[in-house]
Amino acid sequence: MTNLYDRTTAMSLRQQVLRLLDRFTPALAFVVLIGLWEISTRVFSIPSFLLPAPSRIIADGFAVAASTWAGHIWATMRVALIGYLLAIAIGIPLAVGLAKSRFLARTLYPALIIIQSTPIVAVAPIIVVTLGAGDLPRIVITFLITFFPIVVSTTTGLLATPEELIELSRSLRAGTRREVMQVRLPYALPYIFSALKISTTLAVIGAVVAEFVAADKGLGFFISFSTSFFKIPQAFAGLVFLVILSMLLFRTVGFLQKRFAPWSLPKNER
Amino acid sequence: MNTPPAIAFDAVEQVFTGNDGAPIHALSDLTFSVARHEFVSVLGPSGCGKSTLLRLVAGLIAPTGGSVSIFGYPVKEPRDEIGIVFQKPTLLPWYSVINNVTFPMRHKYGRVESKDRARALELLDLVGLADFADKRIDELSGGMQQRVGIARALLLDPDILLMDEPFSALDALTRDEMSFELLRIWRDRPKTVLFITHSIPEALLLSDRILVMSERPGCIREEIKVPFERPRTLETLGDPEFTRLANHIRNRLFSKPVAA
Repeated sequence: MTNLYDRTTAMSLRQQVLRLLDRFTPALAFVVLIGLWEISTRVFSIPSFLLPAPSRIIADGFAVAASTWAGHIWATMRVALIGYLLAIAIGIPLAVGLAKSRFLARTLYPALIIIQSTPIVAVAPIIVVTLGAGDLPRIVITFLITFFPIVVSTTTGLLATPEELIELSRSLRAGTRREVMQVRLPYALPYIFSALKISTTLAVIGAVVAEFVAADKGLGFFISFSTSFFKIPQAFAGLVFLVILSMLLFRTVGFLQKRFAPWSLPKNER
Repeated sequence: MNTPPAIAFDAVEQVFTGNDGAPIHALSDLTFSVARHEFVSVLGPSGCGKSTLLRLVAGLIAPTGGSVSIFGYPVKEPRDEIGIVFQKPTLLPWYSVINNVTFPMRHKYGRVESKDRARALELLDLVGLADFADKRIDELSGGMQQRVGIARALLLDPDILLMDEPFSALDALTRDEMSFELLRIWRDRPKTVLFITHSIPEALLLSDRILVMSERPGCIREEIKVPFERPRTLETLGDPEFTRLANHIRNRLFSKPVAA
């Protein structure tokens, strides 16, 4: 006959195993998926130009010199980051203007809607022709694609500030500048951060689209170059780096929010 | 020579334009005054213009007719003599408790000096939160948050404290506790208090005088002098006169005015 002590330890051991399993479920699922992919390409002997096996992607990825990779990754990252930071630097002050001035809102909002409604991919070739070679057209394209969500979310957040907080500010006669800096903008931070997270992915998309149109460097250029020579596994390797780059940017924003504005996160994510 | 009252309303009218463009008559011919260090409650049904009245005193809106004055001066804009406690605590979650209390200094003058922090700590002690100065807002209960709101309203040492149903979002037990807390704070730091509420017992327990308002357009239907001795205690709530007055007010609120 087992005593109570034994039973409780047995329970907690089982619970521990379950908890461990629960924790590594995403990683395990990922490994299983890659395994299935590898096996099916071999079993059905799928040609590598249709769907390369993961092992082939890794091998071809390593066949490209590390310095070549670094060059392409840096080119894409630079454009994505500059366009993204520019969108923040212009988007947030613009949102303040839209939230505080009815005139600005009525004059600029239609223009913003038109910009957003234009498929940037379609405009990209025109921008490249207008702005010439170099990073500038690529930065502009990235900027245009990331800028709109930042403006819209920030404006929404600024206007969602509760009336009582605004009355508190007004009762202190603190002026518009402090009202925006100390009340409205902090209040809008959860909105701003969610837009900043979405925009990281958009920034990478913008940079890649621009590179598809005209570039001699960057991961987008690398992928379109590789596919034109039917080096599909190599293109997939480029894609892997793009995913990593996107995730890295996304995670960085998440980290910054957690580090500097934990209160702007839902309670269970702090 | 007599000193002007802390708050004076003279034939105040307030008309808003509704969403459909039709005028909404919020307040009509409102005349009353509040003496310095008097505790006056404004009691009335929802939508009778109680909050409008408070915002007029605060200088957040201007009356469409008549005049509102504070210590004899007409109110044209928000003034330093006034502290406001809102219905919700209205705290800033990005600041710690102490920084919420010093917020009026930071917001108004752009800086907080060590004497302001000392004063804020003193006020936190007054509202019973001395040990919570460095906590985050979301670590506090609703009642504690409202105490922080009261401490903040007292930071600039206003002569007049405006309270807009400050305890209405709290549970019944916390609410009673906060009423006695407020009486204690008011005894330690005498202020002119204008207290908006729709709770009859709350108004009776706290006030020197109660202004009972009618439905919209709001005007004063009756003025009641509360006779109970201070300090008021739980015993006050059991006083037969307390029950009688409460019933009287309830009847006044529910019946049509005898004479318009």
